[in-house]
Amino acid sequence: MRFRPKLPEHNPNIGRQRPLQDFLVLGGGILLIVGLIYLLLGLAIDKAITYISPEREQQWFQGWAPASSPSVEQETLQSLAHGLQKCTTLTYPITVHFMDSNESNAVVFPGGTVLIYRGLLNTLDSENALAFVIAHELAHLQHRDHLRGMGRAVVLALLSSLLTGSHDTGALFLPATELGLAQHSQQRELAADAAALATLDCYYGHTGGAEVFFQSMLQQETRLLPTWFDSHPALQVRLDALKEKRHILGYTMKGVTPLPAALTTKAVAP
Amino acid sequence: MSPFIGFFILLLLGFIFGRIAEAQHYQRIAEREQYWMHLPNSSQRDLLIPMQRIDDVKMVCGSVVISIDYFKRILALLRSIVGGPVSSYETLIDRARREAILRLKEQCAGASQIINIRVETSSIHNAAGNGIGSVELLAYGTAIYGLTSEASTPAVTLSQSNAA
Repeated sequence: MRFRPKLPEHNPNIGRQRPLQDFLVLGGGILLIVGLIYLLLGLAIDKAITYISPEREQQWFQGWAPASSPSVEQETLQSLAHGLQKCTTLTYPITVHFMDSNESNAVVFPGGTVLIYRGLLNTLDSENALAFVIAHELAHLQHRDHLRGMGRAVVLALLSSLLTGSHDTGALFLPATELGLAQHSQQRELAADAAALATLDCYYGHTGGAEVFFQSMLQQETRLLPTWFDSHPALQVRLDALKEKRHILGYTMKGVTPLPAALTTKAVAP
Repeated sequence: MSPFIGFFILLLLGFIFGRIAEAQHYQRIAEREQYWMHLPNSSQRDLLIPMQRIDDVKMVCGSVVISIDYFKRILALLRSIVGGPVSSYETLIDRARREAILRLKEQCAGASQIINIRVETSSIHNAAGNGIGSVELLAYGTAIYGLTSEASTPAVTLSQSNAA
């Protein structure tokens, strides 16, 4: 038989090529399942948290927060926090640390530690405004949001590493999971705002100065991206929620108390 | 937030450019396969076409490294979770195999046939630790130069070039 060169008419080595359809079906399906598991585990964590007593929680997380050197500011903040704590249901001692840094923020750690940064004091004009921020962090402790957040973060890490077999490729699923985390956290923030407002009303007898922090942040804000992925809701949403809450519960607004002298004396050198 | 944007930009770029690159490559492959059809190749150790005269025998090899685009890599990753044919890698392997054989043929333009061809694949998957997802194909064989015993084969032109 003579050899006759000839090219094959069709190529059976390449299967059906529908990349876009495959991507949507596979990606969508997997995300749906992972999302469902995440949601269920999140609810399970919320349930489990009710079994952890505040005392045990403090025992576990005592050494977590960064320490700070004692200062006049710290003592003032500590006594303010103590006063506010009487208006909450928190039973364990709260420790306030004053951080000498320009960052305009307040952070809460498991185990009852609140960090207040100097930059925050510079944006606030009254003790009431400061009290609202502290009360907000106390509300997080009271609602045990830090435990919920931590539990969800663990579930997230677990799911992504289980799914992909390595922690590197976990970043692939980050977008979708971040969304779920953010939505959950935005609701918790609004709940903390509401609780802080109640604490403020109990401590001062009115809720004046509560919105000062949000207003000052609103002026600095330059946002290009939509808020779905942020852990905190949009400032305007929070301001509106405060206003509504005030109206519903009939909280009054009176003159505010100025910041204690110990907190206004010096600013951080640039 | 930033991984979200970066991920989709990479995905989009991978999809668009991967598609263009693949289509262009397939077109080049088809043209060259048509052109090189006159040079037969076989994996057997015996001659494919009987020879009147053998002038020269050479070992030739052609190798190629081709990478997959980001989109297809993600698609393959998703596929690896649920299982099934990884069709996004199939075109990669197919292109690489045909390209390697073509490069092999381009190395021995004057030969009348190539026999004893072997094709080897090696994946350069995790070379840099970030899963580049490329594949190397190496084809090697024995090129036979000379005059075939069949008058109608293009070996006539080859013998002319040999004489010149």
